[in-house]
Amino acid sequence: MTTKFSQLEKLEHFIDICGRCGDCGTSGTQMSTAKRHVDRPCPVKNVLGYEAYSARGRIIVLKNVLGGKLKVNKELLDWAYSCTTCASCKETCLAIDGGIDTPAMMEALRCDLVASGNVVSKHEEIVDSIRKNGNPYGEPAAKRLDFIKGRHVAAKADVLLFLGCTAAYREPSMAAGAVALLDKLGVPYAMLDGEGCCGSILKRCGYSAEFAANAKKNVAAIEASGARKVVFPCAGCYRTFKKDYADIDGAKNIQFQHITEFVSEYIKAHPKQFKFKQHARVSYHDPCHLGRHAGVYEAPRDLLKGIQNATFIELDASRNFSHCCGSGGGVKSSNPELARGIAANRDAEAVAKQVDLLVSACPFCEKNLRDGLDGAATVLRVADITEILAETMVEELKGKVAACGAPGGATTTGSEYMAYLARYPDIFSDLVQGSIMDFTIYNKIEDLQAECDPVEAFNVLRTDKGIDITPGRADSADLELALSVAAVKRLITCPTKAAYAEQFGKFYNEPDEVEGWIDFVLNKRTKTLIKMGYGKFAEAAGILEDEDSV
Amino acid sequence: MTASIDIPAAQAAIASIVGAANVSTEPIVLCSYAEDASPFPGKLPGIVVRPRSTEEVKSIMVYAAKNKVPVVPVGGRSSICGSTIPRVDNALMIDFTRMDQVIAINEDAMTVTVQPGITWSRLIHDLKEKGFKLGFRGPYGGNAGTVAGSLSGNSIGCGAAAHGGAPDNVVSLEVVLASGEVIKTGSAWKESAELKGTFARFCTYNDITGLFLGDHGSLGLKTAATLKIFPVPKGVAYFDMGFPDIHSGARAFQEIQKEHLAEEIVMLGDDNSIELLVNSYRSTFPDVHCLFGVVIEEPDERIADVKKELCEKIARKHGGKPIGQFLAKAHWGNMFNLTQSLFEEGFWHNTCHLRPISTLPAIIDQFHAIAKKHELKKNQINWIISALGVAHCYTSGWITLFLKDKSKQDVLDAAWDELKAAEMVSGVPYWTGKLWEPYVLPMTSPAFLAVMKRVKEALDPENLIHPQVFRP
Repeated sequence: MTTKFSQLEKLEHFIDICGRCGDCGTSGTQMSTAKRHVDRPCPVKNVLGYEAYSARGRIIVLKNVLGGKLKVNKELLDWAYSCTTCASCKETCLAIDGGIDTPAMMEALRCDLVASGNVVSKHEEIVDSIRKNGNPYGEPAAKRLDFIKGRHVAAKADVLLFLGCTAAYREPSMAAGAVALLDKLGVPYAMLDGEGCCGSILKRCGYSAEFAANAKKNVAAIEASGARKVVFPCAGCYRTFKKDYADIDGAKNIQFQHITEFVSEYIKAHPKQFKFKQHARVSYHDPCHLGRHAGVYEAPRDLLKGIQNATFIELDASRNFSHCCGSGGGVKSSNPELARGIAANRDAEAVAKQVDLLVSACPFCEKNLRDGLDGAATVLRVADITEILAETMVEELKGKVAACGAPGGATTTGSEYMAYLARYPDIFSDLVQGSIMDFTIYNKIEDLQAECDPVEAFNVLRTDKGIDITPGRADSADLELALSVAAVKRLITCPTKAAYAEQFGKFYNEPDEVEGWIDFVLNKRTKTLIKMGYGKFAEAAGILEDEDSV
Repeated sequence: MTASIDIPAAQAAIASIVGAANVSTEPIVLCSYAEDASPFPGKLPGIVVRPRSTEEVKSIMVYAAKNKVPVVPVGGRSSICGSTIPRVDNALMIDFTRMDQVIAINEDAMTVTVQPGITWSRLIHDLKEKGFKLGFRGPYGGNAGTVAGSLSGNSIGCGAAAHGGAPDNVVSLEVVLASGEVIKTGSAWKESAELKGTFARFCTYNDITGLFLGDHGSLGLKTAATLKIFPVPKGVAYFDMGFPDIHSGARAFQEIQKEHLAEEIVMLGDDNSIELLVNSYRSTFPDVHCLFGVVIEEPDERIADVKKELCEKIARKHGGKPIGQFLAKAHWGNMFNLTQSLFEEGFWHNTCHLRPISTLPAIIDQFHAIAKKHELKKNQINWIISALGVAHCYTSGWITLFLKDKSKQDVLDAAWDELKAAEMVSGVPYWTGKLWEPYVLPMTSPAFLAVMKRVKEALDPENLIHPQVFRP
């Protein structure tokens, strides 16, 4: 059958935009002042080496495919399924807002290949199993909840726990951890009788028709359950429901949350204490489906940092620049050696930081990172966050814990600054709706430069009505506005908005360790920020200073 | 030109040197190496190899010399002048990005010795962690751009105002010659010397190091380089200066450069460039029609402050005024992350070149006349002008055209050709590649070209390394 590239052609414009700068493949650790800790971002190229496996190379190859210079054959098929679609390249790319979407192009190519009958036999087996068994592993549907055999699970509740196939069949300790965690928290929840595959693997491998049918079936089952909120321990299922089901009727009325988001919210109202029995150096691996694809970075970190008797170690490649575990995009099933090689690289990053416990929030990551340790002489333990939280939960707390400010809600510099800004929402009036910035407060400039945690942090979101100020960092802030404690103390005494702007500009343009200082870390392209109104914001805040007119 | 190579035999022989996983003849792999960041198409390589050590490179070159296989060395391939694309079919492309290690930091001689494929961004980071900085920090494409790539291509970029371009910062090189022999240059010429112990470039003999700088990878294969390093500065100052016109801005720019006050002086451009880069400045500073940012780095804050005062005094003398520090700080903090956002304006046609600072206003005026003549704005062709200071006292001017509507390619080509011709009157390109060769070769003195040819023949008599480069 002749291959028509109808899906890929829809994304051909990306090929023209790519400047082939190579940032997506070989860029090294960048200037720390920019906090763009990109370090050889393509996990596949890092193992296989050649340019063809980076996004730049893939774009050149795709151009040759569309131009008819490369034929569809086994080599092309293997190459097409060698991308984990982790989107690290997209995050690194500064060519357009959000980056050139190479993963989307790879998925489009896969759709075209499948449509023309060019398929991988392993993937065909998976599709067949999902059709017959409701899971990709060839396991009987009836065994899905074997890990909690004999235990009664409610069929109806406001909260529905959607386990996912990998947790249920391949990572039962994680599945048990999720159940134990909700039980210990005292959350009333239900589980679907006959929960089926979310279909992520279908979507990632190019089986779009099968995916659409499967998705409709899942949404209908959830609607029928009456649940208003679905909680996922699996990052892959979560991303699929939240992002890929977005256009399905019925899905819009249901709230989808990853279990880390749910628990993080829940314990704010129902405080709990978590503590390791033995001190541990703990790090977090961002699952691509949870982080880059769904924008959840802070909730899992907040939870892990809240566990006592532990030191939290941030890996160099983290958050949106985290390296993939290697399991996604169908790579684990079609090229397990490549997947293991990628995982071994990621494990090595944790070992280099003397981490004892590498925690993830996805059963694919957990399994593959553990597989990556195969044979390595290391004491690194890989575990899922649900297991760790269930394991370390010790007792209830009496007081309420605030993320910004002292325990018990005592007044702090941060909370005073939040209250001050709330009085002057028009400071943010030049920003477009949805703009969000972190305010971080540091004792000294060296702490900012060394990327230590700030003393306090909150974020300001520009809404249609004004601003929302929330304790803690935002998941994906446009920029970080860092201030010294001294600067904040001075700023909040300014009697007018004009006086505030003048003082603000002075701290930025004439920073002083004693008097006060302000600095920025830009997380988006300058051009993008200006389009969002940050240029005007800077002007209003006194940063762009015409000294002669002062 | 097509090389006649027994590809399976070559693949087997090279695999025995580097391992089978590091040599490929797969069409998918080959086609991804036929292009770089330039708009020029390249020839398809026959083999791609990824060596890890000088010894491997030496063995590969011995094989290539024996079997008359043309060789094309490449690094990050972020060149926008087309310097890394193969000029002949079936070449053996050596991808040096696997040779990406810091070999040694010599705190005694204040040098760092690196493998050729290390990226500028990684090197800057590794040095910073140990308390050092480079002089020249790398080209604007330094995220992916490699050290040896920049040394071969005469890169200009970050830190050039104080330290010059990439070649200005080299102490010594290790080079595998076309014969497979390995030489070390500078004070490492002794048979027993190690490159990491080198301390001087100009000594004992001619500057053999310089032969391989700016050679576009055509005279030898760089397998290591020793660069100057400096302590991380304790005093840093940033500031932006606004001017009523390009003439006054250029005069202040030149005087600051004459006094050697800045680590970086950058972004001297016109109204259109301000609009494209930071459009909010147009309304914030309506009387500013030209601006530049300055970065000062010194061992002590007091020295930085004094230099900042001197710069401000110079700017005011020429009608300028300080307008904060956001631009300079954002530029320096986002080094290497600045040009990518221009890609969406349409693939760029770039005319980076060097010129005396005093000639900047004239070339900008000439360009404005060209833009008017070809109605660039009406044809949706935008531009950016940005000049940065380069030691000793000259500038790298950057006039780049952006084509939004591909149907206007002929308009752009006509304007671009006129612009390049105008630039050649008082300026010279620093990189060459396929971008500039058609312009510079016919203008080059025959005697100069003859020397170039004899040097190439002496070092590479079979014309194996990056053949066709610098050839009319």
